[in-house]
Amino acid sequence: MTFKNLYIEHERSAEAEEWVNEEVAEQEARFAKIEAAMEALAPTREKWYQEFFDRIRTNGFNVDGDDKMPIPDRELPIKPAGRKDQVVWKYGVDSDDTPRNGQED
Amino acid sequence: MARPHIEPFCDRDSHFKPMRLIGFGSGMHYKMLSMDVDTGACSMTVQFDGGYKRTPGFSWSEYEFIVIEGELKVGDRICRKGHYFYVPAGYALPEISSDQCCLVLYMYNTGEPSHEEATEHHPSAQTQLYHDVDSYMDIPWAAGNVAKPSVASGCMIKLLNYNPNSFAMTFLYCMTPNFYQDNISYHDCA
Repeated sequence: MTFKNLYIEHERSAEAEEWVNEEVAEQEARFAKIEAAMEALAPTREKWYQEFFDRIRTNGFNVDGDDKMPIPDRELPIKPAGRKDQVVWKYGVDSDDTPRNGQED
Repeated sequence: MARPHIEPFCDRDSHFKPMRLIGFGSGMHYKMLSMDVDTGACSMTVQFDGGYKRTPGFSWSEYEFIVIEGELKVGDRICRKGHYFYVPAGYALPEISSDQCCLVLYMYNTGEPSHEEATEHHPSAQTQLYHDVDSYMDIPWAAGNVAKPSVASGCMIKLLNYNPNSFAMTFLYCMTPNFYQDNISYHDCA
């Protein structure tokens, strides 16, 4: 068995390999479309950000269950300069230049 | 080893494809919902044609499935919508068949779909983890506040599976009318 016993090691057949490769190619095409659609949404997303900030400043942010806490202006996040929104995280990595722990080398 | 981020995906926008992998027979069609491009692990909407039969056997990957519409026969049992199965890797299920066609949600969690014809479990199968349940009739809805910080009231869950090896959980969710929660959450899982 493998790590955590969730999978039994075996040799993948050529036929299965081909099937996986075809499906992966379709997934890559799907991700490219999603990424393009999300980039096209950028101006709308800016508006959504502002609406969200307005709500959590006034109505509050759900911190736990129904408990809501108004967020003071000073605690609202500041968008990092020179950074573009990225909504597709391939293989769980934010981007090529951002390590997963958020710390720069 | 993870599935890439995807946005909500409506499978009505895509067509069923015939499953070509050996072992699944003919009459199985699928729509790929998401896939781990490293391992081939995937979630699929599956349609079994009327008259479909699959031999007894096991998968190299653990998998889960839930009947969405129609009737699926598993061995001698007829399973209707809401019937959920957790099948450990190497666990041999009896023959499955569908007399009148059915729709099933499949989740192969750790590898690509596979079916090895067998009437006995693989020696490495963790058979004690196998379970199935009629999730619609035999599990009550519970409050969604199983972890802290929790969701707002009105989000109800049914816990279908808790894997003691990976700690992965599988839920059904429902929200009451006017459920509302305003925050941002991040789920570091596939």
